[in-house]
Amino acid sequence: MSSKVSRYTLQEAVREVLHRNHHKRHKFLDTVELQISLKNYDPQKDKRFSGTVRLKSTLHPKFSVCVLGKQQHCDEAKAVDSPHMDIKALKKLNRNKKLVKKLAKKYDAILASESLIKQIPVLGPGLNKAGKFPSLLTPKKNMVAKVDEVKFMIKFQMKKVLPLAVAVGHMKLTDYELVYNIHLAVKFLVSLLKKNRQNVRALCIKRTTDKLQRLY
Amino acid sequence: MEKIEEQFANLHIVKCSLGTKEPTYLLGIDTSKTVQAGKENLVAVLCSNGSIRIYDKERLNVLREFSGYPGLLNGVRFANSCDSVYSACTDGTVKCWDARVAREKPVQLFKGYPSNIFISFDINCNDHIICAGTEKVDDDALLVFWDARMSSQNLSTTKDPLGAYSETHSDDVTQVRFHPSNPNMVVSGSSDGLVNVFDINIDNEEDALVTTCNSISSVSCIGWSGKSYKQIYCMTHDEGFYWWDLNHLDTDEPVTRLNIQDVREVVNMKEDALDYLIGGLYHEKTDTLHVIGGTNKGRIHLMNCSMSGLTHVTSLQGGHAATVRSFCWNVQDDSLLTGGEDAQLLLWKPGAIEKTFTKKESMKIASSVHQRVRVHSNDSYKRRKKQ
Repeated sequence: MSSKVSRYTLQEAVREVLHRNHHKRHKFLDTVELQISLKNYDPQKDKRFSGTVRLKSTLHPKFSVCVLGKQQHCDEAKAVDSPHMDIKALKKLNRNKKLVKKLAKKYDAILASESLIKQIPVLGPGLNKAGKFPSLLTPKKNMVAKVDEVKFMIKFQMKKVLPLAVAVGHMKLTDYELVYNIHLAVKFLVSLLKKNRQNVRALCIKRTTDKLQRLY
Repeated sequence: MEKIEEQFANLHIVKCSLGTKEPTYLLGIDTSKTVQAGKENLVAVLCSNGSIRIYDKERLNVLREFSGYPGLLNGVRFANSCDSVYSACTDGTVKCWDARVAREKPVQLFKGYPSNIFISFDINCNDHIICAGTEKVDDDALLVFWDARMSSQNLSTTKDPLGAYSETHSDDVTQVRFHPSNPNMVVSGSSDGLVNVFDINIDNEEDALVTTCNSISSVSCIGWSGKSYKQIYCMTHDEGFYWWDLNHLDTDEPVTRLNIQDVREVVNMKEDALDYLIGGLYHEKTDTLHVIGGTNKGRIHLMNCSMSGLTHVTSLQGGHAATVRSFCWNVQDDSLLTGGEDAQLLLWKPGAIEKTFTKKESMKIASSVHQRVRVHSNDSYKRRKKQ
């Protein structure tokens, strides 16, 4: 591992977080997040620490994606039971703010074919404001892979209030999957810092309803 | 016609700014667009201590300094037709000074709406309109517009906005760039990943939005490129590069020319490293787009941009000692100005004369660790030990 966290420490921490006995009972699935505190980093003058991390396992199993596709993409989506809309359905929304808002609320992410993405302004800026503007459907071979790609992406942004928290998984992942996700996230985030490891003060993981588990 | 790669490779440092009492990161550079016979060519540099420094371009000495204190300044721009210099301030104003006059108080003040924190701005090509982007406050991230024309009656005026766009971004607006020749076109970038293109001649925001492109990350830099500047490129804070062609908005061809998630992973640097991207450079004469990046030790890399990707062309070294944050290429004399976190402003010019130049290692700003830790002298320890 390129960071200061040994594989052993990470595995132990993940085991603790995933399997530690928990008295509270609740219906929802806890997310696991990675918290990173920086040092020797001045948000007023250093380059903004912000972007998108790409992981290997889903962040939450119920992530819903809608495909706004040209005919071929809609057919592929239909074949795997993935929600989709074609250009006709899109035009029917006709800038109706309520319908566009409903679309934005219904799905966690939206993907669109190149030809349809050009037409999105037809809907007005509703998707922009909701933070649900579609990502481009990559020319990957199958629809499942295309949809999965957006499920594995998580945005992060260091606001003035440190530390930075990034979702890296959920309680139903296996130890291995969570370890790998955390490894990818740490590697990528540390690579963006100009002093790499020297800019990291602490790394912790935490499930929503539990305390911090220190990695470094 | 000499390609820009060759010009770049021939650059040598001819001047370095003298150390100032307060070392600061040099975050932005702009040069005056007006050349006056007998007067110095001016360079304006945005400093991380919240000031704008005006330099003489040939001698690189500081002529005067303007401050946004207590707010922080973002962006630096000369007007196109005179030597007014503008910068956006986190105190909710865009400030304008006369770069030739050492007067602390801004010549013009553009006031935003209550609770606006401006972090980006630009002025259009005919100096009529200023547009500034805000941080996200509550649920809104705005693009605010003003009439920039100076009224001949008042020397010092405060102007209120013409209006604002509020519906097209959902997070901090980090970049605003007007079109180089069309005064009505402007592009904005945000940490929500979106790059919005507007035709501000059209009345309401929804209709003015020409298109939205998505970088799926956080936008750090945007620019216009291509013949008649119909293409847009953008760089993200996690070192991605995206390139779109607006000529294809109404055709069947794809708008996306290039889509690179992480430039550091795909550009073949041979033995060298590419740590970050600094900005883009479109060369009109040869219709080529170049991307400039660097290393954390201060090396500068020039890359060519084509639809098949980015290719490393040449590098500049022996200049900066730390991360390079800003650059400005001058088409008239093929010179390059670069500014870094080592507090240095460097002037590079083409030429065969190799001037020996010593890197100013001492200009590296002491890390906060060094500043906090107090070293105990050996003497006092020995004295105590003897007791």
